[in-house]
Amino acid sequence: MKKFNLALLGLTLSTLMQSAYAIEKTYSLPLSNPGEPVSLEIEVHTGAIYIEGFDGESIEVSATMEEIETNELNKIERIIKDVSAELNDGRGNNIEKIGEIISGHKNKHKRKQRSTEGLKSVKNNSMQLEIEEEDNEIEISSEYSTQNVILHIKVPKRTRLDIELYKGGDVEINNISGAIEAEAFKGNIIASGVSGPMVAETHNTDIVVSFDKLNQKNPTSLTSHSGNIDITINKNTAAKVNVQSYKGEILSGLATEFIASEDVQRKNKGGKQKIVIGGMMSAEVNGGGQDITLATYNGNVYVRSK
Amino acid sequence: MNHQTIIDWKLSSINNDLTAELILTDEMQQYIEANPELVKELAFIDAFWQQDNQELPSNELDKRFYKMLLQAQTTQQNIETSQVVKQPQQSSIFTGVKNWLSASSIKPFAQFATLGLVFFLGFNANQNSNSVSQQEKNLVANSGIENLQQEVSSLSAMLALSMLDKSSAAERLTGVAYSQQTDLTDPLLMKTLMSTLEHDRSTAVKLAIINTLNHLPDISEQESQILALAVKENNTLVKVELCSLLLNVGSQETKNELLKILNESELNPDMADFLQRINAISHI
Repeated sequence: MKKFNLALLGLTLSTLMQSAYAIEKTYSLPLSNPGEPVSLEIEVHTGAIYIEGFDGESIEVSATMEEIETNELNKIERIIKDVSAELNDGRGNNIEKIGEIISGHKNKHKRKQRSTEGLKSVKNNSMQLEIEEEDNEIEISSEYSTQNVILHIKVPKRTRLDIELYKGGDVEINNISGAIEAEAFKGNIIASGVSGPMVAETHNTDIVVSFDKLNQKNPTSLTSHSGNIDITINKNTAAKVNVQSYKGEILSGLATEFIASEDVQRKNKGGKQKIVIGGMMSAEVNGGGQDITLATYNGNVYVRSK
Repeated sequence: MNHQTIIDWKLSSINNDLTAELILTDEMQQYIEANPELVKELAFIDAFWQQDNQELPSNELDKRFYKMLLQAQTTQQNIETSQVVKQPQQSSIFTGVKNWLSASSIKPFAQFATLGLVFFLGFNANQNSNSVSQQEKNLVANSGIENLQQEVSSLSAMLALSMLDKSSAAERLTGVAYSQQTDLTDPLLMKTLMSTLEHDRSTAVKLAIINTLNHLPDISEQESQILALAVKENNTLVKVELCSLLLNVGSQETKNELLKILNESELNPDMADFLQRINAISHI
């Protein structure tokens, strides 16, 4: 029932957002130094980011920008806050209650309307997306919370990525052999055909990564607070896989068994010795190799082999 | 196929000196994958090589390098023949190497050659360590090897410090991994680790540092700082790990203080429950 109610809430919110309009732009940036290392840094406040590695020597950016009207945005955020508080209290457990909450919200936040007589609405079409390139270092940013930015970007496969997305949809990455750093606060991080090293972090959402091969130079670490972590590695990949979930399950498809990784003998000042078994479990796959560390507080950890 | 073959290939490839014989073959790749310690050595070489220093050294510095190389070779021969190794001479070599590595201008080729030297000595020190330990009579030689290992550890600490300062979280993680390879007695390294633990924006880096602290034989010097961090930390994962560290290996006074503070603060119910369970287990 709660899921249904949340779907209803989502419908209400999407109706409120229908007044937004979209601008689509495409850009092609040839690299200053073809064949040299490439880095791409993206910081987007609200939106979604899709990155695909290809064999070219340019950066192809397709951006769709939608305005989220400030008043509507504020209204949505207030409704979400009110409904979430009610749901957490256990009171918003049916459709009628949700309706009452939203009605109550309207009354609670009712403002005196200013006169609009003789005025016409001016649409703000100065949405901002900054793209800079210098010596193969590309920066793309959209730090405004009033616009929803959806980016589809093609980069050379070797590109090193650094991505931050605060709100909106997912971060999706495909066919990248360079190092990846990604942080998503509200959306999933989904990557396939990557080789790491990868350092990724989410708060309430999932991290799903399928490794093509594993970079043995630097460690990979995926961390989520309440989301699941799901990785797939090749059956012949050499790695030391460390897993930790405080309240979730750990599920493995590896042939190698996981064992408690810490077995530390201590000798304190007084000569006292103590053995501590840590919460981390490790599996040395194919003899062991670079570290892949997966840690989540509330979520499950899935380790698959292909 | 042996480690040296791979290291020769690595040094040549870094120096853009790839010949037909030195191209990475499938056999070499398999050998690398089958030897995790070699993977780490290769990463070490890469890390040193990627330092952003492109300035050329003076002729004097080049002469100094070759002089140090000669001295180091002499020292190595002394170890192999189990002859008495004069500690002051060895220290001066490594002190020279460290000083030279710290210099603002390092020619890339000379840098990797020195790196090769360090590895050569490091490998031999490790290899000799097994055989020499069987020849316990040669205490002086053992002392020399221990000193050599300490110097290599010190160089690892320098590398760790360098990596911890990088902007990339993956590289900072590598820095933490290198710090685990030292004995963690370098005060500057420990200070940097604690500072990174406090300020780093990456949860993964913070968790790795806590894991490193878990390997310390004694955390009494860091306890008060860890306690302060545990109390003010907002990141649930990091907070839990800091508390676990203190509850597992902290002094009784620190444990009591931590529990008192936690009991007085408004904790997420899940986390409070979790901490209570950790505390219960730590008394077993």
